[in-house]
Amino acid sequence: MMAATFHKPATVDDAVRVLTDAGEGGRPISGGATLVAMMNAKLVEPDVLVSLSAIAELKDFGRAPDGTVRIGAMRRHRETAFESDLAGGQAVVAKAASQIANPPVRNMGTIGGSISFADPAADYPPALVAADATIEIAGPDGRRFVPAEEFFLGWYETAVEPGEIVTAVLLPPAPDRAVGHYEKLCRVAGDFALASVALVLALDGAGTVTHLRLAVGGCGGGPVRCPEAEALVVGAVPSAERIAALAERLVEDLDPVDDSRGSAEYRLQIVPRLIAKAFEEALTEMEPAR
Amino acid sequence: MRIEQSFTVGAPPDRVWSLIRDPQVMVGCVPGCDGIEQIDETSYTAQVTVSVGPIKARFNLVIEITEEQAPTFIRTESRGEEGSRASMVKSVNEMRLAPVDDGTEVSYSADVEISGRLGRYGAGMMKKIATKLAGKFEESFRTLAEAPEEVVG
Ligand SMILES: Cc1cc2nc3c(=O)[nH]c(=O)nc-3n(C[C@H](O)[C@H](O)[C@H](O)COP(=O)(O)OP(=O)(O)OC[C@H]3O[C@@H](n4cnc5c(N)ncnc54)[C@H](O)[C@@H]3O)c2cc1C
Repeated sequence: MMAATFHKPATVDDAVRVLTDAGEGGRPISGGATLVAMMNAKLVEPDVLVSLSAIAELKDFGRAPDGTVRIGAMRRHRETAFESDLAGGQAVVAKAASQIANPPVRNMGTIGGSISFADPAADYPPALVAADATIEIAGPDGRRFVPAEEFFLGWYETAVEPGEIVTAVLLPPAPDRAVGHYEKLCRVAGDFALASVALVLALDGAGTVTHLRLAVGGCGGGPVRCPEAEALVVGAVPSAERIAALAERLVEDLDPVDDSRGSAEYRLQIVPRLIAKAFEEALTEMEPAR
Repeated sequence: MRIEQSFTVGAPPDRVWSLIRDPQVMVGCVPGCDGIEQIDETSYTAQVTVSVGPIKARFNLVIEITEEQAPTFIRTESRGEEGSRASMVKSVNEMRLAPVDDGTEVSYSADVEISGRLGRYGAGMMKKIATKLAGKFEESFRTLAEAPEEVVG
């Protein structure tokens, strides 16, 4: 194999230009946690590698006056896991980051790389859908914005077109007093999820659900959200029965595979339990405030 | 792995059949296919790229029609390799056309064996991916078959 040409542009525009010129053989590289392993195994053999690690704007984390958070694509999982500014409902993203793999992978991997690779069992995708995130993508024609729910097209496919790169993840402010929780089940510590549940939940003073977004990971081509199932709990007190009804409805929309981590059948059985646990944890976290 | 699907097209079996037997139509409808050449009465070569995330496997396929009963049934066998790589794909495909009230019911099955780079994803995942590609084929094929004939020309 010919060694790949390596570029390290300083701006997003330059990165997009080099990638576009490289055509089919071009690949962006962020943390390299996934891509380098695939190159070593000769699964992918890019001619041109475009490192995004020298682009300052991709490394930033910031909060706009309206409460929208902007996480640059090159932010490492570890940085996002420890981001003290991700509180309330937005904390679901930090909690997901803290459960990715192990410390070495969290030091290396980036949010942009993770969502671009879009492993069906990855941790960010369901968390970003629960947080109602928007993905910022740069291409030859400038920037565009895609809601997380439309970004993950399933089985490693995303809305990113050739020549484009993910530049940031935007999190809208969650409702006041919302809580975000991420519940992940894996076979062994540090593994990808067998299944996971991300939720953002808010209650009013009477304990009635005023806001709920819930997404399941590892049980389909991409994260699965079911507004119809959420509607069974919104506007009511989140009783065990209602949560079970939500889970029962949502499971109908799942499309898991049998793989080395577990059977599809097993995944369908554990999701209701993960949902119940996620509610329990979120409600416990709310208690002091109520 | 075995894939089985069926879908309905708003066009009569004769027309659906002639489209299915037209290599240029297939190039336009099979996801990732960028060329088909006829070698003799019953064999073709085709180039098909299957992408899974950053992996793009480009197969050179030889497709043999092993049985055909116009306009209701066709069986093909295809075999392909990926350049010099150790990736291989083999499949036995059957397609049946049946008239229904508003057109044609197309049912097809494929027994696919895949090894090499894409084989690593495991049969469960590859089946989901293949089913998704089949859905894209159906959509393009239906759009074409239901378009006014002049346009397809
Ligand atoms: C042992 C191990 C265990 C893991 N466990 C988990 C886990 O439990 N949960 C989990 O979620 N993940 C897990 N991962 C994946 C990990 O999170 C990776 O870091 C992540 O998938 C890729 O991020 P990266 O920055 O390293 O991307 P890279 O490896 O640099 O790139 C990955 C892919 O995305 C493309 N790409 C990279 N950046 C961009 C961009 N900005 N725009 C467009 N395309 C881009 C690349 O071209 C490549 O195709 C694991 C990885 C390993 C090695």
